[in-house]
Amino acid sequence: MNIVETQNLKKFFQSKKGTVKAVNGVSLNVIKGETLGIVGESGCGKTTLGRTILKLIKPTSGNIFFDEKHLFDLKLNPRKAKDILDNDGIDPKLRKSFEKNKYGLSADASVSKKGPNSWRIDDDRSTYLVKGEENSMKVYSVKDITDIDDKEMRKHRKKMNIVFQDPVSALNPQMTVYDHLNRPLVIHNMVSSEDEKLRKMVDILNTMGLKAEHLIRYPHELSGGQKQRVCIARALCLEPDFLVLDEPTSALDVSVQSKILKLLDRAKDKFDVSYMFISHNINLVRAISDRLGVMYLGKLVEIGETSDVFQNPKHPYTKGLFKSVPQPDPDKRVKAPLTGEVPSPVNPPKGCAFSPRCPHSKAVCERENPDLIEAYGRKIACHIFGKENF
Amino acid sequence: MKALDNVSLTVKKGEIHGLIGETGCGKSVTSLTTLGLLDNNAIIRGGNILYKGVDLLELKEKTLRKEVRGNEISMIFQNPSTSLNPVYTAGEQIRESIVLYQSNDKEEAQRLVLDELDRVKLPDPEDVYEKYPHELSGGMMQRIMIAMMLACNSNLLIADEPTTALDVSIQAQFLKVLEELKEKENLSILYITHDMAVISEICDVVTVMYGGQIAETANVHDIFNNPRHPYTKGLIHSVPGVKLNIEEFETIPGTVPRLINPPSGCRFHPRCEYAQKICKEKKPSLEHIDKDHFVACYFWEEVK
Amino acid sequence: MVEKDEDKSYFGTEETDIKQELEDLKGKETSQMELVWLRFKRNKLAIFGIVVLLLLIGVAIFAPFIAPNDPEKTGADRQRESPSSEFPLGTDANGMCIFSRLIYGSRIALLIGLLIVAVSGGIGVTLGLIAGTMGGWVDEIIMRVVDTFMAFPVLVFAAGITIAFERGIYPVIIAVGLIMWTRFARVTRGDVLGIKQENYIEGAKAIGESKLNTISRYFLPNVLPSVVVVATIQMPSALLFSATLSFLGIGAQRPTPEWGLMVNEAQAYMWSNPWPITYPGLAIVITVLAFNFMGDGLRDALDPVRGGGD
Repeated sequence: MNIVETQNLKKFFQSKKGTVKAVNGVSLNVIKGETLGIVGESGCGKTTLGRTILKLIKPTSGNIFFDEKHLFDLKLNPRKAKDILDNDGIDPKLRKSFEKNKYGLSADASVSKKGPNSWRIDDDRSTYLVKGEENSMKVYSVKDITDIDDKEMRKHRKKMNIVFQDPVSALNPQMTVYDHLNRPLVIHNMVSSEDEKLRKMVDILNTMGLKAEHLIRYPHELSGGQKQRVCIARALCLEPDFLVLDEPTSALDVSVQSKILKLLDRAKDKFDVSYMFISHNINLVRAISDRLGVMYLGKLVEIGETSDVFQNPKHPYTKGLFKSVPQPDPDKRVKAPLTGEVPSPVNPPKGCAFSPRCPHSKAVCERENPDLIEAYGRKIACHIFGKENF
Repeated sequence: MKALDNVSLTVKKGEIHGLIGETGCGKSVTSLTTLGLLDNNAIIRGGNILYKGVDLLELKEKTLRKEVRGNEISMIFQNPSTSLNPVYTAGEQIRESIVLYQSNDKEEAQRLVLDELDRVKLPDPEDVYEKYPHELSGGMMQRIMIAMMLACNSNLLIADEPTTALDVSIQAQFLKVLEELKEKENLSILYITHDMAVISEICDVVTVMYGGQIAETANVHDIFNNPRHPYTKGLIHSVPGVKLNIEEFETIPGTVPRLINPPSGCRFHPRCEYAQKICKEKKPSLEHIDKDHFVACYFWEEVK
Repeated sequence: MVEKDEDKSYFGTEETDIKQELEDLKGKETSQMELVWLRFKRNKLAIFGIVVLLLLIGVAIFAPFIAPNDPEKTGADRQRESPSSEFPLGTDANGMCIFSRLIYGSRIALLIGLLIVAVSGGIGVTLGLIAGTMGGWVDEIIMRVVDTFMAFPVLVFAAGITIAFERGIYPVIIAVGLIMWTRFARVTRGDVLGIKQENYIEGAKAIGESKLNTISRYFLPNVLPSVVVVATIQMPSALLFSATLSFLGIGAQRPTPEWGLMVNEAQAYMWSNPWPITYPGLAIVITVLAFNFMGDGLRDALDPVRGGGD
């Protein structure tokens, strides 16, 4: 089950030089309980993606679904179900099937196709996703947080949060650690008494390797590592389901970094939270993520199981990127790094954005943009290597 | 504050010497001292810096500026955009070095500039020649800096975190350029970084610093495969990539000490699992334990 | 300082009184304010300024005990008397005790200064926060208004207002307050634009803070140091403005013991007896300087990086 799913998410910025397509049609999902790693070089849009998923910045287009719940399976032959769903309007059979499972669809409900095997049904109360999976049609309820207003969004913030790269900038210099933990608890009515609140705060600080006495400290009295622990504690104190970790250890020393990573790993089990771990440090993401997405110029080029992608990268960019990463082993030195530089996102190359740097580029690559499609048990966006029958 | 305490290291001809340590270990101060670039409030108490047999500490500021900095020894920093003049094109800035150190003929100088740009593997040198620093990417600017130092015929390059701001693919390209220069031109490089992976990538010899002192010096293979200082060992085992699973990561307890009031004896002892009474009382000296392998630890034999 | 074993749980299984423990710890901390004070202390002029201002405040509070006479009591029989035991600095043209008027004048000066800064600060900070946080056309409009006000001849504007209403210190306060808010607005907006880039603003959004709370809990506390500095620097200008207006006869009116007014009244006979004009003049100069010194010191102490640059 997914905790977050995006469909064709886009975020464009206007700059003096033109439109920057920071996130340009990203469809991905974060499965409950996993860590999804996102890697890419600067300007690939990974940071913007993390912010857009949490609606800290407003998406230009696309959808963000949150908190997917499996409701029931459509008791229909998949092929028949597809025909029904592809029709405009709600077919009586579909309505009946919903009612049988005690989910009534209102009169003005509508269905729209979202992918080869997925449909979206909206009625005045909720959003449903119907997904064809192997031999069944599963119906899920989701919260579409794309278009809800700020007030409504604020309620959902309890369930999702973010940890930033620079802990110095992430803490209000005029607020103590107590204030930083107090605000989220108060906003979301998490505690009923001061005693309970303090106990909760101390508990979360202990989980992060801090002590009760840190509550009265101001950020400037803490070391970089301690600041980042406070940031994580603040993100976790609402017991969220989903956390975006945007380069959480890049600003820290190596010995501190490994401690923070261990704490994050431990907290994941304790709080039953799913992570989206954004980083440019590929060795790091390899160690911490279950699945891995590689981004290039606003698009996902490859996404799949981390170990699988590492052992056998398919997309030429993924291959080149992994080959460029220095390994902490003097016997394994980089032989052939990627050539060229990342083009400007204001004016990306036509067709496949990687084609000018790609050693395997063909005419079709410069003409058409490849879709992210399933192959080898993962998803790849490449005309040449993205198909299994190649 | 004692930023550096008894730091001795040697960079041989045609060698890339890595200097690694965490924030505040004194690695950048070491390099600045070498070139006499420290602020007025810095005091150098004792020691000498020998370059080709000449003690740089005894040279006058004027001689240092005219004959050593830029000429014999060049330095590049993390952020190249602050080292380049924004009102001149890249080519003009390199040409200036050439006119100073090689040739006065304008056309020949220009040709030499293009040669230098080619040597650092910049694609399309004619195009780069005409570009202003702000039109170039970080990786390209860093290579311009290298081209400039080549134009000055420098023999020693001090590189202080030159790739920290660069992307991995650009970093890899840049490191390749450095490696080739070392091989072909017999250039010596003192490479300062906090990144273990980069160290393993290009260095021949590595010096690990902790709290303003040298913890260990050895060739790169010994540092990674046979570290004998507990700090080196802890550092290597907390680098992602050495261990592939987060659960196997090792951590060093505590934090880096402040140089204002460092711990007594061995500065690492409060964080060290091997620490005994003597570590607290007396500072260990750098011991020669193997061919070009030096360790400042009483219990190096136990560290495995 | 080396931290020992952070990963170990601090409390174990035992229930400790966390609240009490935190109370105990609070006393021992060096707070941000203490740091500011340590830096402030090093500035001799600033210390001089603060001492003078404390004295002035003391004088204002205890005026009835210090002043020997009623400052507003005229006497036709004792005009322009020389200093005596009854009138330590003599009397003015209306027979009012100069010393007592000087003493009570400190009350008026501080009141005017504080109220003007409060009015202009209130308007300026509010508009600055709105302009900075909202951005876009709101920002554009507010900043154009600021530019317009800054281009206004201050005295003419203030004179217009005081003449349009009745004469007295309250119209002066409103008039000068309406002029001086622009500086507050500019500084506040500038700070807000910087703070906007900080992650903690995004973090506030991420934990679900409302817009109003983000402004009051994240923006406002972080612009306050600059606002305090602007306030102390604006204070002397406010005093000078009000004194000027009173001197011109369109501010405080007789018999209010206002220093500017006293200068005005004494100028008629300043050649025959320079003392009655010197005392209030000196009072204004010293107060203005004290505020200036303190303002400079405060700016350097609050912002050691940017401070002292100009």
